[in-house]
Amino acid sequence: MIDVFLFKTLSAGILVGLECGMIGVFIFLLNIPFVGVAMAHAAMAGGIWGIIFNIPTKLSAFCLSLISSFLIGPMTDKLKINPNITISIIFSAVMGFAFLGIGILKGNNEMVLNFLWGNILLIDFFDIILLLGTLILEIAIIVIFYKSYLAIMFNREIAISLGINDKILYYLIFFLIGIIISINLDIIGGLMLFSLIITPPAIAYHITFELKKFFILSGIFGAIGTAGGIILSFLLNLPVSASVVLFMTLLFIITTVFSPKRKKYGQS
Amino acid sequence: MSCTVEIENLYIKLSDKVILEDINLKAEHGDFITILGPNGSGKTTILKTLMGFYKPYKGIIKICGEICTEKNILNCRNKLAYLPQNFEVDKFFPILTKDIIEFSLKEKYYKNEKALKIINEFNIQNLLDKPFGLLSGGEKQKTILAMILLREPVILLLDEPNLNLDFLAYKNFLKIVEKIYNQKKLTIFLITHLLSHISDLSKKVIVLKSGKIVFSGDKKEIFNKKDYLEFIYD
Repeated sequence: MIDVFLFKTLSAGILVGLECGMIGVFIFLLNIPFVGVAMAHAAMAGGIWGIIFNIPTKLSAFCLSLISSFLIGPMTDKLKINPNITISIIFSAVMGFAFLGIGILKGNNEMVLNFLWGNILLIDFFDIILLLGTLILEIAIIVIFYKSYLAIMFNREIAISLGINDKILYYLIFFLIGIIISINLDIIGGLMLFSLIITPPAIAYHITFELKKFFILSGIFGAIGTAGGIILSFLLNLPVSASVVLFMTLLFIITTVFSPKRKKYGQS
Repeated sequence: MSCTVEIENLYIKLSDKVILEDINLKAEHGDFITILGPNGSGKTTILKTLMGFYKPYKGIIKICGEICTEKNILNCRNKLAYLPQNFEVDKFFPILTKDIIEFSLKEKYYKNEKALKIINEFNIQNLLDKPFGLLSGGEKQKTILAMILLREPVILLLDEPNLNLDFLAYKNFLKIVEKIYNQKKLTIFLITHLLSHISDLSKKVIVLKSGKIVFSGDKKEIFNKKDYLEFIYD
């Protein structure tokens, strides 16, 4: 019984690690680390208002997170500001919505905490199918538009001059980030999500100079970190989210110290 | 392919500020035009408007006889190659030099004869497997130039290529540009704010000041002016 339970949790953890690790490459190279936090809070606000209006919380969380992801790209382009500013504005707005909802709910905080910490141990078959589906979608987008995304992340002006439709692809990435975050949020929670989208690409950055390998390594480190954290938590009877985040941080420290890139090419 | 560039009565406004005002210029096919002017005079804006990065507030741009609008901007861009001012990346950025070359190709560089030829001409064979972020300023510029030329443009836009290069590296870069100009007879627009950086092959000069063209003509004319430095930079 325990084996089946562990197998289910590990399978989900590996899928989560793979997809968060790979989407993290975009977040890392586009330098928008707080997009994860903003969208996680958008989903949380959506969930809270779902309870108030008696709508399935998964659906309302998903919708608000997607709306936020749709807004970031066009707002950044129209206002001609740094995407991190747009992300911060959206973050503040959804936080306002979330706290307004918490005020109206008066005391029903269990679901709010669930959005922060998630519960990977309670994952069901439907969640695993959803995770698998989003992973396939993500890989398909990366493979189809690989060269275009490489050009956009390298230099947006050069990408445009090459005839790449940068706007659609830029918005598509925010949309994909929105989908992945809202699907993963109540499985792993916002805090672990933040670690899973930032730390794996930060680890892979120390290892490779090739974007293809960067995507693969980031996904693999996401999966190793999640699986390692889950196994540790089972062995030592520790909280899963905390174990995963700490295990991932340990991997980051090890790769930083032994980074082949830094060793060969220096620190600065 | 013979191709002219015509800018008629062009105005560009950015955030309600007029950046370019009543710009009129015509480049015949094979012209090598240097755009001079102090910082903030609107030199880069002209090139970026030709690329379609900015939408004219007023006026038209014709490339090879075709008026460029939002609808046919890709058509216009296909005739242009743009070397931006800045393409610096973090030195650990995960991109190899060959990846940059392959931006302009559908296949791998070694399967493309044109790519192999230009790699050879530019003498960048030994850079292909190196991380782009670790190349010198001159090597980076050569790589980007090789990549954009692979698209076989008829017009080449060079936006202050001297900015990240020392004088010697810039002179080497200019030699490559002059060789391409002689071989392919492209129309070239080169931006600089230094008179010493004008190519010998560039006969036409345009001087911009506060978004307006204040001089357009033969290079000799401007150097014959008594206080030409003051005229350009005051």
